[in-house]
Amino acid sequence: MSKSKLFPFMPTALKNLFSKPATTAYPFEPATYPERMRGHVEIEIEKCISCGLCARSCPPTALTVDRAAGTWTINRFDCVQCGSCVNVCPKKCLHIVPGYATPGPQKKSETFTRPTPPSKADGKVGLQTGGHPVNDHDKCVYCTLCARKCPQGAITVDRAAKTWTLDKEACVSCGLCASSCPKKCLTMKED
Amino acid sequence: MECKNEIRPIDLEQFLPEVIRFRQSGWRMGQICAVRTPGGYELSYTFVKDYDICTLRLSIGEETVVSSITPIYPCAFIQENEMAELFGVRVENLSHDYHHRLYRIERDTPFKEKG
Amino acid sequence: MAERSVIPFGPQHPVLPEPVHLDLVCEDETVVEAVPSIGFVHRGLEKLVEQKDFKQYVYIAERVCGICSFGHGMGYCQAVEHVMNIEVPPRANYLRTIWMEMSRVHSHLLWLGLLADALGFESLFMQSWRLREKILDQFDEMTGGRVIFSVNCIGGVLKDLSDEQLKTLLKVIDEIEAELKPILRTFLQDYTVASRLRGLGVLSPDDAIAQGAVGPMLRASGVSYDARMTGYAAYGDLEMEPIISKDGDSYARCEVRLKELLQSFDLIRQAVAKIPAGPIAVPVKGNPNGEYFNRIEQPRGEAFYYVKGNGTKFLDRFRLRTPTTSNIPPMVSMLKGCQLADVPLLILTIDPCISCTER
Repeated sequence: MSKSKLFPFMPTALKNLFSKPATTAYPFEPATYPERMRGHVEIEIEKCISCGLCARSCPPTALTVDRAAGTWTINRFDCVQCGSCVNVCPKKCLHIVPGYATPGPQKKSETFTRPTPPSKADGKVGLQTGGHPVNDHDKCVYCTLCARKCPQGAITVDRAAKTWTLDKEACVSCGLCASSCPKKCLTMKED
Repeated sequence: MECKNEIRPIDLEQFLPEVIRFRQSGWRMGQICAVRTPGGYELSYTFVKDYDICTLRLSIGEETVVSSITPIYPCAFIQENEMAELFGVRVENLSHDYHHRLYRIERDTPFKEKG
Repeated sequence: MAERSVIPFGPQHPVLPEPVHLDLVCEDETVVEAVPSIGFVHRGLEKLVEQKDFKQYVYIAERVCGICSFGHGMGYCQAVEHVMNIEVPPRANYLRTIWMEMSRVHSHLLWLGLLADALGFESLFMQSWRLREKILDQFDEMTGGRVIFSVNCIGGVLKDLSDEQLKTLLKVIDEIEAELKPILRTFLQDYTVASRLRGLGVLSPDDAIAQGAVGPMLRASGVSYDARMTGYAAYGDLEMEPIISKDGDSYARCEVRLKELLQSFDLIRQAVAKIPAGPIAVPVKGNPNGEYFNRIEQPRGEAFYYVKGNGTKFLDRFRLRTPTTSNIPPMVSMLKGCQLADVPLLILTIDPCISCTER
C-alpha cells in the first residue's frame, strides 16, 4: 500500500501547458512516413508476365490478372496492404511503398496494361509471352522438383517410368519450374 | 519447462464424472471447441492446471444431446452457447441459455456446412 | 422494497473501446444482476479458414483484433508449425519475442489510457496515449504498419531488423521508461484514482480459478500463472517471473499491468542483448495434417489456438479462444452489488477486447 498523494500529475500538466503540441499540423505540414511503411502496392508492369500468382495469394481478392488482355487490376479499396502479393511475385515486379491510397467517395480500381501484346498462336487465345517450359530429356533426372513448384500443377513427372509431361492449358508461364530445376534442363520457349 | 499437452478420447457416459473429477482436483476451464466431422461433431473440452493442459475429446452424432457442464463450471456458458449456435450441437441444462441469440446472425448454425 | 429497473448499457458508450451490451438490473443505484450480450462485431473469421490457403490465413488471423494482432498471428503460425513439425530458426523466435513484448507495452499503455478516461482523468489518458505513439512509430519503422504488422509467416518472420534498428529500439524504450515514471506515480499514488479503484471488484483466488479468469485478472488475485513460463518462442532463454498481487481488487489489477510494462522493457532488453544471427524463415513444404492446441500469453491473458489440418491446403478447423471470452463470467459476477457509476470501471478492469471474443 503506497501513500496517497494529492496532486502527483501537476508537474506534467504544467509542463504540457507550456510546451508545443505533440501532434503534426497535417495537412499543412507534410506527413513523414518511414521507409518500410506499407502504404499501397505499385507494379513495374513491363516486367509482369501475367502468371496470376499475386491474384491467387491475395487474401481479400483485390487483384485481378487477365492473361489474354495482359492487364493487372487492383481494387485500391479492397487492398489491405498485407504485402502477400509482393512476397510471391516470381519476377519481383510488385513493390509496397509508403503513402496511403487517396480516399474517395466511391470504390475504384486501377488497371495497368503490359506494353508487349499477348501473342496468339493457332487461334488459341490466352498464350502469353513467356512461353512454356521445354525439357531437355538428356539432362533431366526426374527429381520431380518442377512438378512440386508448379502453382498450377501443370507438370507431371513419373520417376519410375522416367516421363515428363506438361499440361499446356494449365501452364501460366510463370517460370518457377525453370528457376527451380537443379540440373537447369528446363527452358522457357515461345511456341 | 516441460508441460503436458494431452488429448484424451472419452465416452458420453464417462464424460460428466470425469469433468467432476477435474473440478475436484482443481483444474480450471480452458476452452470448449467443436469441429464438424462427416455425420457428427468432435467436441474438445480443455482444462488447465498449473502449466499442464488436458483435453477431453467427445465424438458424437448430429442428434446426440450433450449435457452442459455449467452446473460444474459455471463459466462455460458463453463457449457452450457459441457451440450450440454456430454448429448446432444440442446442449441441455445450460445455466444461461441464449437460445441461439448470442451472436446476432441471420443464418442458423452457419458452421454446420462446409464452405 | 426497492423497485427494480433494467438499464441497457452499450453497445455505444463513450468509455467502451469495443461494443458490448449489458442489461443491468438495478435497484436504485446498485446493480443486482448483469446479463451480457455480444455479437456486434461477429465476422465469422473462423469459418474463413476453410476457404483460404493456410499460408494466406495468417493475414486474416492477425486481423481478428487490432491490439492483440501480433499475438494472433504468432499463435496461429506456431500451431501450424507444430502440426507440420517445422523448426523455426532461433533469430525468428527472438524477433517474435521482441515484437510480442512491444505489443504488450502498446496494449498496456492503451489500457492505462482507457482506464484514466473511464475515471474521467482525461489528461492522464492523453499522456498515456502520447507515450503509446512512440511505440507505434517504432512498429511503423520496423514492420511497416502501426497496428497490423503482417510480419509473421509460417516458418518464421518476413522482415529482419538491423543492428541500427535494434539500437534505436533500445533508445526508445529508455525514453518511454523515463516518461512513464510520472504516469506510474499518478496511477499508483493519486488520491482520487486510488479511492475509485481500491476495493472495487474484489476477486478471491478461489473465485478467480472457479470462474475461469485468465491473465492479469488471475495474477492480481494471487494465482501465479503466466503462459510465457512454458517457454515458447524465445521465452525459455529469458529470465522472468509472473507478477502477482494479493489484493484482487481493481487497484491490484492496475498495479499488475503497470509492473508488467516494466517487466516487458526488461524482457526486450534481454532479448536484444541475446539475439543470435541467422536466417529468419525456413521454407514450408506440404500441407498440415494433424491437430494441436497452442497457447500463448497475450497482453490480456492466455489464449488458446487450436488448429486441425486434414492434408489439404485448407485447414479443417481453427479455433481461437481469446482471454476476454474467459474473463466475461468473472466480470458479470463482479458487477453484482456494485454501484451504477462503477460499471464502466469494472468492464474496463478485465481489459475487454470484444473483437477478439467474437471474431
